[in-house]
Amino acid sequence: MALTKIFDISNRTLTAYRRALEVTSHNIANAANPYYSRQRVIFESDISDLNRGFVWGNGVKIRDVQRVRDFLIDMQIRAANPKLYDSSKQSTLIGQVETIFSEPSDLGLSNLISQFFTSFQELSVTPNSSALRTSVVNAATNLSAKVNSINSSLATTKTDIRNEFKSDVDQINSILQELQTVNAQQFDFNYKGAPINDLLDKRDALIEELSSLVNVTVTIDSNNNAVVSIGGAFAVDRLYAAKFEMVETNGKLSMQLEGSNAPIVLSGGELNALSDVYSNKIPEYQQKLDEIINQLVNSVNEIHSTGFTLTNPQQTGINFFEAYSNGSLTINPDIVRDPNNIAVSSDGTEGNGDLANSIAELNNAELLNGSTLIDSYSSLMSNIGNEKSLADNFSEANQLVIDQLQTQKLSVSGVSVDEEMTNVLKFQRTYEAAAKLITVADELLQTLINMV
Amino acid sequence: MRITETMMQTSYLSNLNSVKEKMAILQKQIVTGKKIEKPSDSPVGTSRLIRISDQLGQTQSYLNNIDNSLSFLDETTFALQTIQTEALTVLGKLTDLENPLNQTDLNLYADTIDNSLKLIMDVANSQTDGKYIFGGTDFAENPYGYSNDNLSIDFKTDVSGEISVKTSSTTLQKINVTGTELFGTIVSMSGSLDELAVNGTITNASTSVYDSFGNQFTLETSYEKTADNTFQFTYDIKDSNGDSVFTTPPASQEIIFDQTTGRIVSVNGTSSTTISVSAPDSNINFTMNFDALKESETPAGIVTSANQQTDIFNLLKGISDNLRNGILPTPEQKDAVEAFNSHVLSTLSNVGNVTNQLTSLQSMLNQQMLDLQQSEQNVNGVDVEKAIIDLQNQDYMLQLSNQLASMILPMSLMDYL
Repeated sequence: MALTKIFDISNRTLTAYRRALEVTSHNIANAANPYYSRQRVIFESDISDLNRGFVWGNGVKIRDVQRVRDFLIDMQIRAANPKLYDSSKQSTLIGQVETIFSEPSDLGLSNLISQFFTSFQELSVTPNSSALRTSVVNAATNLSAKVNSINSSLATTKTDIRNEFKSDVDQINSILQELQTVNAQQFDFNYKGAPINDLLDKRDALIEELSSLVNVTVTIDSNNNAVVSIGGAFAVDRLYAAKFEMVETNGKLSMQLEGSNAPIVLSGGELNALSDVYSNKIPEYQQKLDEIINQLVNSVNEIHSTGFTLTNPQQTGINFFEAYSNGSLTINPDIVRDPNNIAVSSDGTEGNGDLANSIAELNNAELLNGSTLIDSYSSLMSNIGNEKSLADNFSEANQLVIDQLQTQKLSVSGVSVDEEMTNVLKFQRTYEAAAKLITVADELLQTLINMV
Repeated sequence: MRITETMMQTSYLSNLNSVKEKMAILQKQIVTGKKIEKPSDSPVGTSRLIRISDQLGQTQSYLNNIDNSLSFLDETTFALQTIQTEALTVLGKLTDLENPLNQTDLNLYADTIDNSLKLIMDVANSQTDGKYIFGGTDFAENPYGYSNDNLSIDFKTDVSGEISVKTSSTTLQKINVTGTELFGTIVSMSGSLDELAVNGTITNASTSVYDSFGNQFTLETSYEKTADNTFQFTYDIKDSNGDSVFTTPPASQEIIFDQTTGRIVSVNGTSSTTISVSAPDSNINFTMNFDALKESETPAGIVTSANQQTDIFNLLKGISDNLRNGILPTPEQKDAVEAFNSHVLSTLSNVGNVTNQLTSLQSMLNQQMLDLQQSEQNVNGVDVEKAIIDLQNQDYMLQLSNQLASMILPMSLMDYL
C-alpha cells in the first residue's frame, strides 16, 4: 500500500466526521422543534482494495443520513388527533353555551322564572298595590331580558362557530395546497438525490395539523408522497390538491368538494365539533328553551286574558306577553307603560287577585310532559352540564392517549442533547485522530524523503 | 427507552398545569364558598340547586304572604274589637233605657248611639295597606255610607269578595272578613230537594226579609227540576200587597248537585254557593247562601231563614231615630244588637284561629327554609378546612415540582464539558 493512502483514508475520515458533526449540530439546533425528527448518520467502511493478494481497507464513508421515525406511532397519532380535537373543541363550545345561561346563580333564568311567579303570588295579596304591580313588571322585564340575552348569545355563538368553520375550511385548503407542494418538492429532491428529511418532517407536521381539524385517511406511497382523503373524498397527492367549501343545508353545517353537491362525512377533528354543536346541540337546547318559554307565555296569557285590569275603563282580554318569536320575548307594552293593565281580577273588583294566584300556581303546574317549567329547565341545564362534562372526560381521555403517543414519538424521534453531545465528543475524537494520522503519515513521508 | 429533554419538559409542564388547575379550582371554591359554578361542575347538583332555589323562592314568598296576612289580620282584630266595644256601649245604653229614670232625655241616648254608629261605620270603612278591611275586594269607594236621601245606610259596593293568599303550595288561606259575613243579611237555604222527582216538579219555599227601615217583605223561592241532579232556581221579593219589588224578574239560576254526595256542585256554573240580591229602590240587600242545601232520595223539604232582619247600621239608625221621636227601643232591637255583638265575638274568635294557624305555618315555613338552605349547602357548600388543606398540599407539590425542575431541567452533558 502506498504511504499516501493513509492521507486518502484520513481525508475521507475527516470529511465523514465533519459531516457527522454537521448532522449532530442540526439535531441540536432542532432540539426544541416539536415537529423535528432527529437524524442519524449511518457510517460504513469503504469498499476495500485487493492488491497483491492483500486486502487494503479504504476507511470510512457515510452511507446515509436517516430520519428516525416510527410510522406506526404516526398513524396512531393521526387516528387519535381528530378524536382529541373533536372532544376538546366540543368541551370549549358547550362550555361557552353553559356560561350563557348563568346557572346556577341569582342571575340564571331559573331564578328569574321563580321571581316572576313569586311576584304574581305577592301581588295576589294586595292586587291594587301599584308597588307590587311594578314589581311584577320588573320581574317580567328581567325574565324577558334574560330570555332575549340567552337567545341572542346563542345566535352569536352560532355565528362565531359558522365563521370559525369557514376559517377552518380555508385553513384545510391552505394545508392541502402546501402538502401538495411539499409532496412535489420531496419527490423532485429525492429524484435529484438531495436530502429530503426536513421536507418529510414538514409533510408530517402538515398532516398532523390537518388531522386536528378533520378526520383524514393518509397513505404514504412508495415515493414518499402523502395521499390524503378527507371523510372519503380525495384531498391531495403529489399532483393535485382538492379545494373544499363550507355548506349549510337545513341548518346543518358541513363541508364539500368545491362544485360538488355531496357533503363529506365528518367524524372527528375541530370541524366535526363545530358542525355538531352548530347543527345539533345548540338547536336542541334552543328548542327546549323555546318549549319552556312558549308554554310559560301561553299559560300566563291564557289566564291573564280572562282577568280585568285596574284601568278606567276596565279592560279584559289582554295578554300579559305580547309575543315570543325569533328568540325575543316581549311584554305587552301597555302593561309596561301602565302596570294597572295587569289583569288579575277575576270579577272586576280592585281587590280581587284570584288570577294572580292562578298565574303563581303555574310555577308548580305540570305544564310540559308531566313536568313543571322549572323541572324542564333544570333538566335542560343538567343535559348541557352532562354533555360538557362528557366532552371534558373524552377530551381528558384522548389527551392521555395523545400524550402517551407523543411521548413515544419523542422517545423515538426527539433529540437528546446528552446523546448528541456524546456524539459530538465521539466524532470530534475520531476527527482529531484522523488529523493526527495525517501528521504521522507526513512524518513518515518526511523520514522517507530524508533518507534519499 | 430514550429520554429526551423535550419529553421531560413536556411531562413537567403537563404535571405543572395539572397541579395549577387543581389549585385554581380550590382557590375559587374557597373564595366563592361554592362547589358548583357551572352546570358541568355537577350536572345533577345543578339540577338539584335549581329546584332548591325555586323552593326557597316560593317558601320566602309564602312567608312574605303570611307576614302581610298577619298584619292584615291584626288590623282586622283591632277593628273587630273596636266594633265590639261600640256594640257593648250601645247594649249598655239600651239597658239603661229600660230604667224609667233614664227615659227623660232620649236625645242624649240618641247622640250616644249615633256616635257609636259613626265609629262603627268609620271602622267598617277603614283601610289597611290600601284594602278596605271589611270591603271585600271591591275598593271603588267606601263600602258603607248614607243613602242619597240620608234616610238609610247602604252597602255602596259589593262587600262579599274574599281575599285569599297562598301560604303553601297547596293551601289558599282566606284572610279577610267580608262585609257580608260581618254586617250582611244572609238568607240560608237548608234542607233537601227530591232527587227522584220527575222533571218539571216544583218545590217552593219562602221567608221574611226586611228593608233598611225594617219594613217586612216576603222572599219567595222556587226550585224546578229540569234534569237529573239539576234544578232551576227562581226567586222574587214581594211587599205586603203581594207586588214584586223588581220591575223585571231576577234571572233564574241553575243549581247542580253531586249525584253521589248530594251536595251542591255549582250555582249558575260557578263553584260559589252564594247569590247577592239587591233591590236598591226598595233598600233591600241580602245574600242567599245555598251551602246547606242538598239533594236527597228522602227529601226533608226546604227551610229558608235569615240571620237578621236588618244590618247593624240601619238597626242603630232606626233606634236613634226612634229615640229622637220619643220612641223607646224594642226588646227585639236589643236582642238584635246582642246577636250582632255575639256575631262579632264569634268572628273575632275565627280571626284569632286564622292568626294562630298562620303563625304556626310561619314557624313551619321558617324551619323549611332552614332545611332547604341546609340542603343547598350540602349540594353546593365547600368544606373550607378540607379545601385549604388540599390547597396547601397542592402548593407543596408545586414547590417540589419547581424545585426539582430547577435542579434537573437545565442539566445536560453540556454542563460538564
